[in-house]
Amino acid sequence: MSLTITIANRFSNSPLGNGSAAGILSVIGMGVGCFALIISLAVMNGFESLVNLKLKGFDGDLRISGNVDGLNSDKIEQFEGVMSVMPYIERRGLINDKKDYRVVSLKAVDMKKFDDFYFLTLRGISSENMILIGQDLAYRLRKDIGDEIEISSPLDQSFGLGFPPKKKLKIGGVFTTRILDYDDRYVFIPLDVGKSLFKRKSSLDGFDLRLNDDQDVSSWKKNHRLSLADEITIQTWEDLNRSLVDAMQLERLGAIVILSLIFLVAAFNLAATISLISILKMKETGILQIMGAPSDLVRGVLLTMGLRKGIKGALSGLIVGVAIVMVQSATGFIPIPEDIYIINSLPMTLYTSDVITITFIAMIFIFASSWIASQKIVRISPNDALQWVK
Amino acid sequence: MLLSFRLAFRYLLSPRKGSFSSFASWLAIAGLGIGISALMLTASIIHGFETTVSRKISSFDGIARIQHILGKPVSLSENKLDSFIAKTNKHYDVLPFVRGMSMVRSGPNADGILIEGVNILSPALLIDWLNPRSQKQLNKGEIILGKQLADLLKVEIGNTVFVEKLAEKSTRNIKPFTVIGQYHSGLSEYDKILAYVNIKDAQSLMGYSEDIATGWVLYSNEPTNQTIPDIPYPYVLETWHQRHALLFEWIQLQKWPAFIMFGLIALVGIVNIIAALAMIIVEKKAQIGILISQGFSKPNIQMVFMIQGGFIGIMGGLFGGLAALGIIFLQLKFELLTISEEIYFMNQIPMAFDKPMFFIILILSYILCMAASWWPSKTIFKLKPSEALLNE
Repeated sequence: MSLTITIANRFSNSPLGNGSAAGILSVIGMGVGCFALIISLAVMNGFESLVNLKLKGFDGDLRISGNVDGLNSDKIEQFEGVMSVMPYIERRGLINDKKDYRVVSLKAVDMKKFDDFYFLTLRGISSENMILIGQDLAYRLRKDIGDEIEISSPLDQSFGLGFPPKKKLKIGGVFTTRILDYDDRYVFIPLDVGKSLFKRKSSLDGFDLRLNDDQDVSSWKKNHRLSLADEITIQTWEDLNRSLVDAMQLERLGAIVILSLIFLVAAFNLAATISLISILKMKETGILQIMGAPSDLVRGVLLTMGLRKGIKGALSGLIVGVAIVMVQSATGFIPIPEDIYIINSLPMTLYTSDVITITFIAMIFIFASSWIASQKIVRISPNDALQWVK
Repeated sequence: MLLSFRLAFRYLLSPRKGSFSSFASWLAIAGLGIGISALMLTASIIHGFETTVSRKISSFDGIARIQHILGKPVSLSENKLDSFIAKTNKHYDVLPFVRGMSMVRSGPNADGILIEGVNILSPALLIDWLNPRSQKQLNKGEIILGKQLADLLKVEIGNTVFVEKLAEKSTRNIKPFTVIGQYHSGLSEYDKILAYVNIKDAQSLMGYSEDIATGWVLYSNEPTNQTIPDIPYPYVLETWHQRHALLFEWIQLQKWPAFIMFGLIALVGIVNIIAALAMIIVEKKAQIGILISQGFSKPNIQMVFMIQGGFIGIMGGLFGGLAALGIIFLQLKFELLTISEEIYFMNQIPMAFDKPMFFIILILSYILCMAASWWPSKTIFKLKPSEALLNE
């Protein structure tokens, strides 16, 4: 065992009275910091993956749009990594029930493929002559599965006399996404109905794509960019929901920065504890230096003590935090209101990269505070140290 | 008592270089300050968000809306509501409104909109007028669109748009309107859909006579907490808060986890005080021994450390409070921290001075500081002067 560690052990074992309570509190402070960061990042990840899953379930992995005249589903399905393709036409239109009108986005899709392509919480069935509406819209229109409703496309109305193209259809199903205002804004209609309704559109708007599980969406986009014409746009689900994805990233960064303040405050405590030890052991360190010990040894002793305390705290916070995340993932013992969040237990997901980031942040604070506190004693000359009066 | 104060400040503000007592105290003050500042900023953001969303929603929906229970059009000459209006009129403006779905067109662009016909526009609605000096209300043939809707239609202030009622009737009712203003709230649900016209235009578009409206809207020029009297059957009154209950429930739900998380920073800060005082007592053990042997009573010595804890609490509160107020002021003045309007309904982090909450945070943290100082200082009672001096 090196001399530094031996002396650090001796100093740690000597009684500090009330000071030992302070030492324990500094350990707890670090633990609380780690715990809070682990839990909050796990909850954010949980909600983020839930939202991502919903976004992908609603939009597909990728969207090919623009001038897609030369493309068709069969052709795209031949591309490497493509699992399924959904052709679509989208248009702002109206949905109405006698007197109640709502402006919605009418998305015409191939209803035969609907269940396999989109992952939505759907009540009812998708059928080739029925429409699917969101839960909020159904509530506002006071309509449910089996009710008849009229859709129209005013943008395709001819000038002068005449009415917008209209179609009466039955509601086949009601979906719930709980993403932004999707449940109020979107209506899925059969592709043939869309083609007959949107008279001014001569072709499809594009295709939604679902890739095989082993495919990376961004790499796919990059690899296929060159093989498609310039007037064709490829957007990943992240591109389509850029502001939401960015907002979630920003919240994550904000949480890490703000909760790191707990580490900062706990680091103050650790610095104070190391500083107290250095003052209590001032004479001993003076003797060591007079006997020929280099100042690096004295600094090393205090640094070791600080690192030990800090790491002990951070590690316990980390273990408790990870344990709670694992128990919550397995049992879901922390509930949340289902009517607001659609799920009934708090989602928690933890990635290895998060644990590494948190450990890294904790180590920076622990090392910095121990270093600063240990510097104080090194600056005092051995003579002054021996004559130190509190 | 005076001596206790002198000793407390001597320990705290010791000018000697390398003094542990003052080093530990300043670290405790900094820690507490950061905690208090984080809590105050949290309270300010939550309050700011709630206030901004409330202001925006109420600028559209008014304080409340009165409609027929079955959603039928109402007669403005109906005398059942006379006493209600008479009672309510003291604090609120009760004004009729007409609402209905319509189709708006400009060249090849068209969209479905919700037309709202009013006599007087909500005073809270921020409008970019064609003639800002001369016009504050709508005349016949004039329309105000949301900025997002105007962009969708590619129209600008001064352009003409055509509005048509969506109806099953075979006769078409189309009216030209001049866009005389735009509003922008950041709430896409309104900005893309809602357009304001004069009530007479709305009545004629919807095919109502001058006596018929959709309901009444309550506006208030100044904030008031006056309760609204009960409304007689068959009318129903819905406040903007009730209408958007889920949103406010969500804000309430977000509030407590945020306070708990940021409260942890303050909690660690308060724990620092316990640690700092405990350490100061260890360091000053010999001096405490001397004081006791000189006849200084133990409660008096405890008072010295309680004063120190109180001072740390005050200084932490002061620094933390000033830092938080500074950040809030800078954000309000220069809007430095921006966010995505599409997601959060506003383009900068909202902050507001939540005075009652600031007061509660400061008082509570001070009480906790005092409690935190009491715990380590009670060890003085166990201290024996002979042992304390002997160890030195």
